[in-house]
Amino acid sequence: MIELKGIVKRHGAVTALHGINLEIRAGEFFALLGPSGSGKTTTLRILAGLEAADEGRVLLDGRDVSEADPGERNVAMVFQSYALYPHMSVYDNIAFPLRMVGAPDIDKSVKEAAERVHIGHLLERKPGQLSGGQQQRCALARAIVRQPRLFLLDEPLSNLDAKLRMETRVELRKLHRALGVTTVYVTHDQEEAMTIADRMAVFMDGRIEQVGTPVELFARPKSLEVAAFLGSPPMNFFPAQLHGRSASIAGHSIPLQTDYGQRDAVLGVRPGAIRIAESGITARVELVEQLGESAIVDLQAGATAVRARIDSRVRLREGDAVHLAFDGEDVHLFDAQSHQRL
Amino acid sequence: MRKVLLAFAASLLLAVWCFPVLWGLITSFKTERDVLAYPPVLVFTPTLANYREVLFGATSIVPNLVSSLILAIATTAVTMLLAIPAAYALARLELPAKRATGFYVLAAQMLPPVGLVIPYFLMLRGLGWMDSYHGMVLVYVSAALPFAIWLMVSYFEEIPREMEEAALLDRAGRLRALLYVILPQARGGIAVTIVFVFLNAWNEFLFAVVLGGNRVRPVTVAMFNFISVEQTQWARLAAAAMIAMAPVIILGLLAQKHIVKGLTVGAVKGGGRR
Repeated sequence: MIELKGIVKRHGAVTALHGINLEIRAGEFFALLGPSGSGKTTTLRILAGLEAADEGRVLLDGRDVSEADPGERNVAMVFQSYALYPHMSVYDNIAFPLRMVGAPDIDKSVKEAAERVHIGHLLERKPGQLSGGQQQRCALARAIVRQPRLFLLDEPLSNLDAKLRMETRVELRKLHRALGVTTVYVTHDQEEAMTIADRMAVFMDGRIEQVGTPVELFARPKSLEVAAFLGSPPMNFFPAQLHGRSASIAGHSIPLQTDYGQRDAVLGVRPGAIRIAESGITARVELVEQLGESAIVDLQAGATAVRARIDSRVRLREGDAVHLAFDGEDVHLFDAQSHQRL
Repeated sequence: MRKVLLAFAASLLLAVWCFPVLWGLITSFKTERDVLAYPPVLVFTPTLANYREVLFGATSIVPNLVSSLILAIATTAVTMLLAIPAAYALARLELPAKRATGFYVLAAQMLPPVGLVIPYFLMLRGLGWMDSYHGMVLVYVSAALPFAIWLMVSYFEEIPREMEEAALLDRAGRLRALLYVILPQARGGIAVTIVFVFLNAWNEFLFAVVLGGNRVRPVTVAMFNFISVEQTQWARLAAAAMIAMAPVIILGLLAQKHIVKGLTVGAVKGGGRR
């Protein structure tokens, strides 16, 4: 198990992390998700020991490693740039961490690790002679070869093309299942995190906004920021006035399942929950993006821009006037001031 | 047209650079009489007598070549041993007053050698190290070190930080990360620095003529002895110069690829500076 307790990190006058508390369970595939500059990579580097926290403690399996050197933590990392040693062959790259500790049976371990990531035939090559995907596998092999107790991945897929990224995602997941090593995965791609992680933490401005399973986070985002960050296309937001069990937006009333009293709120609804109806919020079609099975429609409802995912068989043209409807159970409500979920 | 003009300008520059070397080369094959002939003779019977004399004669420069070689190799070895760790530290570690140190290192390079020769003289005499290899090497190293450090820093900064971070995570530790991961990647820069330091030591004259003597007399000083009050032995001087230039040219050709690359380090990429 990994525990981060009150981690604060400052870069000069800028505070990069404001007291991070996080528990990652043994064997978990855990994603650190957030926009760039939100502190997720800094958190990973503190876990690795590459940066020291200004305050707080890092515990690996109950042992305080806050002061331990990277080499003493028995963690392996795959860097965004892969950081393969360019002057060494693939074989030597993979063998390097074993040689450094004088491990036995280096040859066997290297070949096994290479086979596991399907680069057994490339051992004699130099990293410069490999494709991006092969380099990435080489970096993975170098990380798994010494059987670390913690596996850190810093945006490992960001340099791959879309198709390869999807394939590698699946393989990473399989690899994790086969090895059972606790894995911490940094990404800014919410879709990647949602598909790959057992649980994840959403970082915003050096703070953790929410921790949970992808399903939990998607279904019950704790704040407007998390709601806006998860899901593609992102959630739509309307300013709303709540009156007991109903919400009024753009002069239109939506029945709610709970009594929220009288207050101003922000009402969120995912693009997939919006449908074109006989009556409801009036909107004008701005743009239709056909995706095959569904279509993403950009609409303008008064002053609010709305995106809806609808059945592609519904024929809409730019300029059409339509009515939008959604159910009360699909609605997310956030406080207008604090942006916290109601 | 542009190409022709460029080629013309280049050949003009090359000619200006080549002329003294070619003139020296021709002179080295002349007899002293042909050298002093006026108008200069371009057609003459070439002789190897000058080379024979400066290599095997009474005024042989072979001991001086050996002297130069010892000085240059020792200077290069000591300089590199000190410059590599110093440059690595300046490039990588968060040190207090790092900037000031870096500037100081470079500022030491700006002092004119003439201004230093008297203090060096007094220091070496005080230590009883005049006309000794260790004294001369000490002086040469102090002159070469700032430049070597400054050059190496830029090479180390070119190497991404992730390299040693990966090595540290691979449990190499700082020293082995430097030896196995960083130095092999900086070998081009190390080669260039070695060449520059070696050549500066090999070509050095001012300190050698003041601080050297009968025991330590590098080839640059020995060549100077062909010029005396009574006469200047131009042909022998030229032959000696050609011989002294040989290692410089060979080394230059060997390292040419690295040198050109080395001079443009940091010119294009931002490098590993972060």
